[in-house]
Amino acid sequence: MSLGDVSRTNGDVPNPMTTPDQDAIEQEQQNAQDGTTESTTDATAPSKKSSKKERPQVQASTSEQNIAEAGAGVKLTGAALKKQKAAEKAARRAEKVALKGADQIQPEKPQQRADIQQQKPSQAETATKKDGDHLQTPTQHHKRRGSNQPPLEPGAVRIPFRPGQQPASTSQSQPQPQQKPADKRVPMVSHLYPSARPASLTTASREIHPSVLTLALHLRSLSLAGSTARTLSLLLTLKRITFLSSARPLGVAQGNAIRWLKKLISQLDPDLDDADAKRFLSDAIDGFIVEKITYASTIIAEQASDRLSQTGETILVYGKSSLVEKTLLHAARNDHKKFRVIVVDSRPLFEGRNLAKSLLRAGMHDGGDLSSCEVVYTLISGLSNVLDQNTVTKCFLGASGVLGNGTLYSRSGTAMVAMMARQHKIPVIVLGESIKFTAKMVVDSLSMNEIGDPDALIEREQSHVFTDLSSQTATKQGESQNANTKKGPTKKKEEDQKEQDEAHAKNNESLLSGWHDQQGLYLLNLMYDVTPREYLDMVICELGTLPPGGVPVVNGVHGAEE
Amino acid sequence: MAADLLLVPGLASFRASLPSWPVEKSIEHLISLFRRRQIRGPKPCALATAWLLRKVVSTTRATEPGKLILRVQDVGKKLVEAAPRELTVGNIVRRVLGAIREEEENREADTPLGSEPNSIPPTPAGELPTSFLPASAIAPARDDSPLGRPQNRPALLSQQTGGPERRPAVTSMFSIMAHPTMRGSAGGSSPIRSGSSTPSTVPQPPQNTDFRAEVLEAITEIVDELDQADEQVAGYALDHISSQETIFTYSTSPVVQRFLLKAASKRKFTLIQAESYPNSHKATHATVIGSKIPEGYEDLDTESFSKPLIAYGITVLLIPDSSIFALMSRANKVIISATGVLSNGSIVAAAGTKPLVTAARFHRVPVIVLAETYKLSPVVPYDPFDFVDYGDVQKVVPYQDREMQLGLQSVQNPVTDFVESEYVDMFVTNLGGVATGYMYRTIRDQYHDEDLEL
Repeated sequence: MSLGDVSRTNGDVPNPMTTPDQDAIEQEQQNAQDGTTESTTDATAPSKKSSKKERPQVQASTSEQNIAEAGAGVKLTGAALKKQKAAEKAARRAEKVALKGADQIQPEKPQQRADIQQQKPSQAETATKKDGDHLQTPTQHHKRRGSNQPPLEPGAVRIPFRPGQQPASTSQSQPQPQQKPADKRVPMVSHLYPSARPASLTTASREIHPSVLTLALHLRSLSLAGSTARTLSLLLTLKRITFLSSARPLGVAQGNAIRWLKKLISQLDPDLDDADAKRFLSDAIDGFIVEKITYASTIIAEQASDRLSQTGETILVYGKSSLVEKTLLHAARNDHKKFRVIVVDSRPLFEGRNLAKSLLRAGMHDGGDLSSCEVVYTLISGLSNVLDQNTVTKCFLGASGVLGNGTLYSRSGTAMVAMMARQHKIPVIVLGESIKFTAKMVVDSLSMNEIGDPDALIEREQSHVFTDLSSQTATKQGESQNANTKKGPTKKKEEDQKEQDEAHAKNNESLLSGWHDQQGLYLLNLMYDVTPREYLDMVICELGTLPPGGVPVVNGVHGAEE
Repeated sequence: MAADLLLVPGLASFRASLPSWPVEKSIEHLISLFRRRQIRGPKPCALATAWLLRKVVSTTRATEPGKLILRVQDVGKKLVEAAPRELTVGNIVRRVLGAIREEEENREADTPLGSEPNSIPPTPAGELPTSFLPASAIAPARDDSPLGRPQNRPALLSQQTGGPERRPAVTSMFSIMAHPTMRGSAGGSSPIRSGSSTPSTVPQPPQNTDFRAEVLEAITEIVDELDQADEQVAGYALDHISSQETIFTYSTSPVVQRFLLKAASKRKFTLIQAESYPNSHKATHATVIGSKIPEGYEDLDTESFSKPLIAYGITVLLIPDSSIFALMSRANKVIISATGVLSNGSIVAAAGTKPLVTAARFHRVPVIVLAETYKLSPVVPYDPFDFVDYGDVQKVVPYQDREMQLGLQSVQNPVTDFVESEYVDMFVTNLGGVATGYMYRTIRDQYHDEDLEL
C-alpha cells in the first residue's frame, strides 16, 4: 500500500489505510500531478502529506481543495512535507512508469534507517536514468523492516527511497496510476514548485560529478527525504569519492575538507527541510572554500610578503606552489618590493618552469612591469652552484601537507632544497593554509607518498627538429665552427653524420622506453617527499605564523582529527 | 664508422694524427682541442696529454734532463692554460716531470757517490725516523736550478706511513742518501743537484738517448696506468659491496660501472641510480639499460658498457634527482666517482653531488669516492669556484624557449660541483683504499713539490 508505506516512513504514523482514503488520495495524486517533464521534478503540492495527516479533513473535499487546504492550513514539519512530496512524487512516477510501460521502477522502500537500496530508475526519467548507471554499488548491509520491500538484487545497495514508487509488478495494492497531463500548480504554494531547476540540473551535469548529480536528483525528487536518508545518501556519495581517490590518492587538504564536510552534515538539524538543508550545505561549502582556501591564501601572501624587506632580498623557491606564487606577485605588485627569485626545478614535472614563466609574464624581467624583480632559473643539480653564487636571504616553500610532527609533506625535491638552504643558513619558510595541517605523522618519505607515472621519466625530446640540430652539433663538436677545423669532413660524410644523428635522436627519445621489458630495471617517480622538521624555520598559515612543531596546536583549534 | 670518428675532432682524431704531424703542430692541435672542449673529461684529457708529452719527449732536441724538464714544463703550461678546469691535464704533466726527475735521480744514484765524511750511511727505509720531518725547517728551498730538489722534500717512504704502494717511488733508497738532511748540511749547490754538499759528486755522463728512452718508458707506464686504473679500482669492489646491500649512485662513469659490475658478478645487491639531469642523464639511462651512449652526450667520463648491471641480476632503480633525499633513507652506502681530487681531499664531481652527499650525511649513509690516481691533483683549492665548470645552458632552458631565454636574469648549467673533504668517508684508488684524512699524503707522494707550480 503506497499510503501505508508512506505512513510508515516516519515510523510513527499509523499504518492502516481505508479504501476511501486511498481513493481520495489517489485522486489527489493525480490532481496534484504536475504533469511535468519526464525528468525528476521537485516537490509539488504537498497533497500526499496533508492527506495523510489531515485525512479526516480532506476526505470530503475535492482534491484541489485538499491541496489548497493542505497547503494553507497545515503547518507541516519538514518531514511531513517531505513525505507528502515524496508520496506525490512516487505516485507520479508510478504513473509514468505505467504509462511508458517501463519495467524498472524505483522500488518502494519504506524503511529509511539502514536499508539502503538503489535500483535503476524508470526509463522515463532520463536524468535519473543516468543516475541509475551510477547507483549500482556494492551491497551494503541492510535490515529489512518492511514487508513490501522487493527482494534486493545481488549487488544492489539500499538507499531509503521514498515509498510510493512501487514497481507495478511487486505491489498489488497500488492502483494503476492514471495519466495526468495538466501541470497544475497550486498558487498558494507556487513558491514550492521547482523553478527551472530540472533544466539546470541536466545542464549542470557536466560539471558536477555524476555521483553528486545522482544524489542531487534523488534529493530533489524526494525519493530520498528523511534527514537520515539524506545523510546516508550523502555519505554514500562521499563514499564514491573513494572512486575519486582511486583515481588519485586524496591529499591532506582534501581529506581534511571531506572530514569537515562529513562533520557538518552530521551536525545538520534533522528538522531542517530539504531546500534549507541543501542551501545551508552549499553555503557552508562556499564559505569553507572562501575562508579556508581563497581568503586564507590572501592572508598568507600578505603575511609572507611582510617578511620581506623592501629591497635586496633573494628568494629561493622550488617547483610551483600557488601560495608561493601568490606571495611573490603580491609582494612585487602590491608591496612594491624588489627582489630576485631563484626558481629551482626538476624532472619530470618541470613545475618550476611554469612558475618562472608566470613570474616573467607578470613582468619580472627587464622592461616589464615589475622590472625591479628578477628571476633566475636552475635545476636541482645546479642547486649548490646557485647557492654559492647568490646570497639567498629567504626560502619559500609550498606545502601539500604539514604533518603533526612538524615535517613538511611537499613535492619531491623540496627536502633537498630545504636541506641546502639550511646548509647555507637561509631561513626556510613554509607557506600553507591551515587546511593542509594534519595530525598524521611520518618520519621518512616513503611511508606516505604517491607514485607518479614512471613512464614520465622516459625523456622525450622537446623538439625533434631541434634534437637533430643539437645532436648534430654535439657530434660534430664544433663543425659549426668549421672555419677553424683542420679536418673538416666532406659533404658526404656530413650527410652520413646527419643520418646517424637522426637515428640517434630517435634513440634518444627511446633510450628508456623499453624499460618495462628489462628484468630488474625499475623507474620510480615519487611525487612527494617529507622534509624533516630541522630544516624548517617557520610555517605561515592564515591563522598566523608558527614554528613547524606547532602544527598540532592548530589541529587542536580545529577540532581533533580522526 | 671508425673512419668517421677520425675526422671528428676529438681524442681519436688526435691520436691518429700524432704519428704523422710535426710536434709543434700537434701541440697546437691539442691546445685548440682543449680550448674548444672537443676533448673533455678526466680520462680523455689525461690520455691526450700523455700521448702528446710522449711525442714531445721523443722528438725533443734537449738532451739534458734540465733542458728536458724545461721543455716539458713549457708545453705543459700551455696545455693547462688551454684546459684550466681539467685537472688531469696538469696531473699528467706533473707526472711526466716527476718521471723525468726520477730518472735523473736514478741516473745520479747510479753514479758512484764516493766517500763523504758527512754522509749518513744509508739506513733501511723502515728505520727512517719521522722526526726528520718536516725537512722544510732545515734548509731553505733552492730554486735556482730547474732540477732543484726542494729542501722540504719529505724523507719518508710510503712504506713507513702505511700508505698505498706506488709506482716508482719518488724517493728511493738512494735518494735518501742524496737528501741534504742526510748530509747534515745544506751548503753548496751544484748545477745538477741543489743542496748537495757532496764534493765527490761527479758530473753526469751524457747518456741522453738512454735517458730519454727511460723517460719515454716511464711515460708509457703512465699511459698504461691510465688504461688500467679503472680495472684496478674495480678490483677492490668486493671489499666494499656486500650482499643484499642497497648502493646509491649518482650519474655514471666507467670506474663506478666497472666497480659495480665486478661486485655484481659475485654479489646480489640493489642499486639506486639517480640520473643527474641535465648533463649526464642520457649517459646514465644508456648505462642502466645497456645501450650505447648517444654521441655527443659523453659528458665527463663515460663509456658504453655492453652488459648492464641488470644483466647480472642486479635490481636497478632509476630515480630522478628530486627523489634523492626521499630514497637516501633506504641506501646503505653511496658510491660515486670524482672528476678530480684536490690536495686536501676535497673533490670535484658531477653537478648535484653536493646535495647528494649532504642528504647522505643527514641519513648517516657513508660516502665512498672512487678516484683513479691520475685524478689526484696536488692543486690546493683556495677558491672552490675555480673548479666549477659550466656547460651548455640550453640543456637547462632550451633556446627555443624565447620567453625564458629573454626574461630570465640568469641561467647556468654547472657541470661540476665542489665537495669538501668532510663529506667523503673514504676514497678507493687503484692503489687501494685511502682515508680522507690521509689523501693529502697520497697525493703529495705522487708528485714532486717543485712541480706544483707549473
